[in-house]
Amino acid sequence: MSAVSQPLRDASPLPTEASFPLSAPAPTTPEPIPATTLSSPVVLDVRDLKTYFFTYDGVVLALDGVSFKVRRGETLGLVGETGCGKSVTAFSVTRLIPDPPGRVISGKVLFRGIDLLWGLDAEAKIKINPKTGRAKVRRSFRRIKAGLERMSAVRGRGISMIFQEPTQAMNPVFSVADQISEALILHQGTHLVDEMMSATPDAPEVLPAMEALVDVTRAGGDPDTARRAAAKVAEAVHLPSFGTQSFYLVRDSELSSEDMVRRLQRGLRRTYLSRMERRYLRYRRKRMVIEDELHDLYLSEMREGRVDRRQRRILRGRRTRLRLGGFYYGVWGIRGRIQRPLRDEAFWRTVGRLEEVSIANPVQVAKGYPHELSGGMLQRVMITMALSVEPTILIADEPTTALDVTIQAQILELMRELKTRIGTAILLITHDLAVIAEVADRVCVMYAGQIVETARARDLYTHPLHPYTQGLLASIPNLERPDKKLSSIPGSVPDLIHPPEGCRFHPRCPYAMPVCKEVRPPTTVEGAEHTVACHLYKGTVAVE
Amino acid sequence: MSAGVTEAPAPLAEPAEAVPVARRGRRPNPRIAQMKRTWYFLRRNTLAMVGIVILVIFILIAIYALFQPIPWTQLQQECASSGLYPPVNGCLCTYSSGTVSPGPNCYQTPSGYPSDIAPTIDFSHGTLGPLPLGSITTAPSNPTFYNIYAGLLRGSDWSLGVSVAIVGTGALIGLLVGAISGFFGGWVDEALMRIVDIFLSIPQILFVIIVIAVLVALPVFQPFGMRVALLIVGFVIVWWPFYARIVRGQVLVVREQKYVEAAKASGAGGGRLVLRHIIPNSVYPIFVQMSLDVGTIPLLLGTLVYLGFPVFPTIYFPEWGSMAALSVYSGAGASTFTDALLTCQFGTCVIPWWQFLFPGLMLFLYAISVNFLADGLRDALDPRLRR
Amino acid sequence: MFRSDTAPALITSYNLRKYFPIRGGLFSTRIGDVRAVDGVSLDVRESETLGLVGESGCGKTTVGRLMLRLIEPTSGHTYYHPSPETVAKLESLYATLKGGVGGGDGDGGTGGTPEAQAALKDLDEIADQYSLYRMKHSKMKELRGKLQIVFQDPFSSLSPRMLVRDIIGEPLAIHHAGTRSERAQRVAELVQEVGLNPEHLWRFPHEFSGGQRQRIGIARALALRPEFIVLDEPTSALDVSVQAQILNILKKLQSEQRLAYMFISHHLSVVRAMSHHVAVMYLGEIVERAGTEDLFSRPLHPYTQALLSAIPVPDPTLKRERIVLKGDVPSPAAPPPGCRFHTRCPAVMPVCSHTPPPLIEVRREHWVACHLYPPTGGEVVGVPIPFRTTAVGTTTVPQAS
Repeated sequence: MSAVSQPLRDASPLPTEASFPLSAPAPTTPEPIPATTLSSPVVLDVRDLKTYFFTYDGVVLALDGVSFKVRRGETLGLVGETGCGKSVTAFSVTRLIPDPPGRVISGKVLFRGIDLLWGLDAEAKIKINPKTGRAKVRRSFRRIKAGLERMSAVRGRGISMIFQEPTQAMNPVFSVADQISEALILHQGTHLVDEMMSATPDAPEVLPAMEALVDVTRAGGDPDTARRAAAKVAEAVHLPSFGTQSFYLVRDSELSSEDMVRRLQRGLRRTYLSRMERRYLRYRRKRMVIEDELHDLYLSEMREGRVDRRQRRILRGRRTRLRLGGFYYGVWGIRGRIQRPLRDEAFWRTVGRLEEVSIANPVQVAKGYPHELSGGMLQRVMITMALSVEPTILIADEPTTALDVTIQAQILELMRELKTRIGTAILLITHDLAVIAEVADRVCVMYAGQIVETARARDLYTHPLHPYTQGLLASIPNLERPDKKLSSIPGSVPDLIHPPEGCRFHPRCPYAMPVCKEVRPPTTVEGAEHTVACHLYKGTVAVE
Repeated sequence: MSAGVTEAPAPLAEPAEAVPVARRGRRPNPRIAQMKRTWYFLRRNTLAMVGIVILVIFILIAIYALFQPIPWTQLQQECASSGLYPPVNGCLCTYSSGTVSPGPNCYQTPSGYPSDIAPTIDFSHGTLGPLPLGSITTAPSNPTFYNIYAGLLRGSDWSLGVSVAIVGTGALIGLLVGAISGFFGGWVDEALMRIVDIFLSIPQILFVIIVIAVLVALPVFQPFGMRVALLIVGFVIVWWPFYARIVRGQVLVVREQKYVEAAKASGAGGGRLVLRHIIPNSVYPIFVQMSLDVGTIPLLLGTLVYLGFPVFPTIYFPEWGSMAALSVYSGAGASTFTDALLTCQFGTCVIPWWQFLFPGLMLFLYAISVNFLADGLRDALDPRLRR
Repeated sequence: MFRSDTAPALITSYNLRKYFPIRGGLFSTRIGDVRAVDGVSLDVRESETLGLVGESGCGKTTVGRLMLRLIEPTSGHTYYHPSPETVAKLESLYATLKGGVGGGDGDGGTGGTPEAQAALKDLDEIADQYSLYRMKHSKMKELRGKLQIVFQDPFSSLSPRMLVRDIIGEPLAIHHAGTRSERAQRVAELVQEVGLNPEHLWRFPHEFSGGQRQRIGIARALALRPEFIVLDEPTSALDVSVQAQILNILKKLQSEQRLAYMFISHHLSVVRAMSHHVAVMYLGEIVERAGTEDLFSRPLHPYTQALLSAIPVPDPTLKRERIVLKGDVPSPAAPPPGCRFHTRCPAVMPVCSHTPPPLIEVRREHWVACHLYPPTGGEVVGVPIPFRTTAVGTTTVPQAS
């Protein structure tokens, strides 16, 4: 009995008072899937993802064949309890699994047609010792490193993530603006530089626009009119971030009009670039372009499935030469000074973005440090950072678990609003079924490393098919119906080193049949976009 | 391997007394399982394994040395420079180049070396072979040979023993002070920490030197045992503050943990809390520091003697540092490194490399193996790095 | 679920205050206070559960610890098993003081009328006799067995270097309750009561899941047959189904052993399932207190209403109109003047920014501290619930343009 090394699980739970709601299983004749629901293109297609962790106690079969699809603009909720593997799924998709001890073993992750897991098999060879259950993994670090570098083309741009603990997700020694600017410059640097270089501070419309803004501000009243006036100034200068800056510069209404205009003109000074600064910006732009080309190269490599060594060598050579040439600027321009225009531009853009997520004092927040902000504000900042690059899909790993209920409500409103405004697809991972009900369009329920049910949100809550889903829904204390007794699912989450045979839920399932102990149930289609993996249902097997 | 379907909990059929009696027999000891796990992680760390292997060798040497008839207060062997044939007490007969060999198995000193220094490569001579002899010449007519091999053996005993004593005592004191200071907080904490600061500000070796220099003249410290005690006490005085600091830091963390509060809620008093909850959970960082220090202290001891301090009653004391120190032969009867350097004259000053290389190598290997082991232990014990 | 209010009070607190000094400056002088708990009065009745609700930073955890004397209050008193006469006397004494129970100066106020001074003296005498904070440590130690606590984080509330049997048996060992074998037997009983196996006793805590660890914590709290247990967010770190198991155990134990609970949580739905009475805290003060059904069906204080409306509904066919509060919780070191909620209140009035509202009983067994409900009496209907849950149409997948 390997009782020593095997963590114990609950072997003798209390007898439960209420059983699961005994809804009849769904009709066994499957409805034909209408073609019109599949109208949006699929942006993330995960097929049969398997991730194992090789530990002292054995091999943890964390993910055992997980498949789901996310379409453009939709919110997919991934629900499950602690230890079911939902965070592992998110990290596997972006290849953030810590390499010893974990590895993605097999599967396909297609992000807009690009296979993110390309090159996986070549990276490591695994031999499992049947006696002890431990495995020996021989890794090729060179290939792993190459793979991770390829992922850098996708991470942060196509796929971005926000995490659970906002107070720990940011670097405490840099200000908020520094960190968001870093992301902005990295991902949208070329646009930034182009706009900066094409600013026209000397245009004749600038001064009248500034005076109009000052008049509007002095007259008081609606901040929206002030914003519109500021936008006009920005148009005159051809620099959108100057609109934000001018709005905040004149908000202090104790100054006289001339002082305010002077202040605005002082602020305008940052748009006048010296020759040296222009050269530096051009140099930076060249580097950014090279990085973009490299990223495109990686993407095409992943798409076609082969490494283009020649092109790589060319691009990397160019990059190195540029970098070496850049020492000149370090020598010349005490680097901080020469970077100031770029940083200022990024700062005001950051302020603009913080405004968009309705943060009250964006300038102070941007200048401040993460420890000065509360959890809710930080989570908004993280969302800003993640969405500022306009990614195709945002992976949110338990974003509201650490927050209070009222703040959670704010964040969920924000996510809903951004969803409609920007149209990013969201993969929302949480254990809170109520949060999913608020935000998600479709839901996947995970248990012990497998997806047991996928459905549209309202279908899941009104007709849960899998016994686990039913049990989960029954054990939520519902505010609307307090007299309903709290039922619980007997037993506890299985040990993933020695998971149960067949269906992993069978030891706790009230409807377990003999076949459940032996055969893993296939995922079958039971309705429009409703699939379930259970032997109770005998629909057609879903095609991957 | 299924987790079991709903069943009623098994009733406690056996009488209550059977529970404590039957425990060790039937159930595997969970603490042993933890040790097995730590060993597993250590095994996978090559540097730590190298360190362990070297340390094991050292320990074996120390044990072997315990049973050798090497007097550990002095190792000098008085030999005549020549004419002793057959050799007595492992002494050799030597003759300088240009003169004739007095007998078979006599060694010719290499050119450039005075007649009374001879490296032996003969492993069959003497009872204590196989490493070369070193020598300290006090007078050209009365060379004394110094058995490096014996010195290395005895020195390992000595170095290990003293460093364990120092580290053990220092850690104990530091643990108590740190635990009390961290747990009670307030003015107790402040007072104790200022004391720790005072002690930390003393430069370590300098303090030990001063203590020894001042006190060694006292008659009470003439016997060798008392001097060793003085040395140990001197080191402990400067060493315990490090441990106090480390423990206090950990105690501050442990003190805020909920299980301490739970024990308080059950009515536990300060003593019980400190002994049963705080100390067992705060002791981890010390282990690593202790193993590092066990490697560092022999280096410091060696430094002390190298600088010529009268730690030992004789200059022939078998301690690695002192052996390395006495390797400068200047021909004018110098007994310490500094003296020898000062009286060194070109042409007569020689340094037999074999006399400082081997003790130095021992020190180096010892210290580095302990360091590897400590590193590996820390990695293996840290729950976050668990793989 | 809701019992009549004639159950005798088990533990009552009056005007608890706890200020944590903020140290700064050259010699760590005290430059301000964090007013974690500022004038809280609560009572928990025998065999019933008082739910204490609020967001993080409102001081509810501190209140729990104060009532068990795990920390010493800056002012205020707690009485354990007070006799009805004492309670009556205390009520009348506090009534003569300015502001009454829960508001104004309470005890410790300086100056005032001679009646106030006499009342303070009387209060002091009663406190010397009965108050938990003035008991000698030896007497307090005896009481510790009756007043227990279960913590939120099952991972850090069990000492990692002790076996489970030692953890559960520690209270027994501290109080030298019985012989060694008797203690072992009791430990075995406790383990069964919470639904674990006897062989679990010989393991370390880290080998268990969160729900099991919480059961161990509960077993430890039950060791000395307590009468009152403070449950400090016992299920917040657990998953939903495990939470249900633990709550069921707690309810079973409450009915079997006549335990009184103080259930501290920020999950309103869980509190509703467990409590008989609920008190809502905001920034160190109690803003509303009522029986559970009363509070949830007719919440009076705007903060309570916002809290209730913020709870996400686990049913996508229902949509709740939300009261979304502006801004963040102010820092407890610098609470807003007057009513502490006025900076975020959707129903704020001019009087709210300079006068703190007293906690008054506006309906039977329903106290509110809000200027919307004046203390002059009269029929209070309550502000109609501005948030409703309605059914929504089908949700569609938004098409990206």
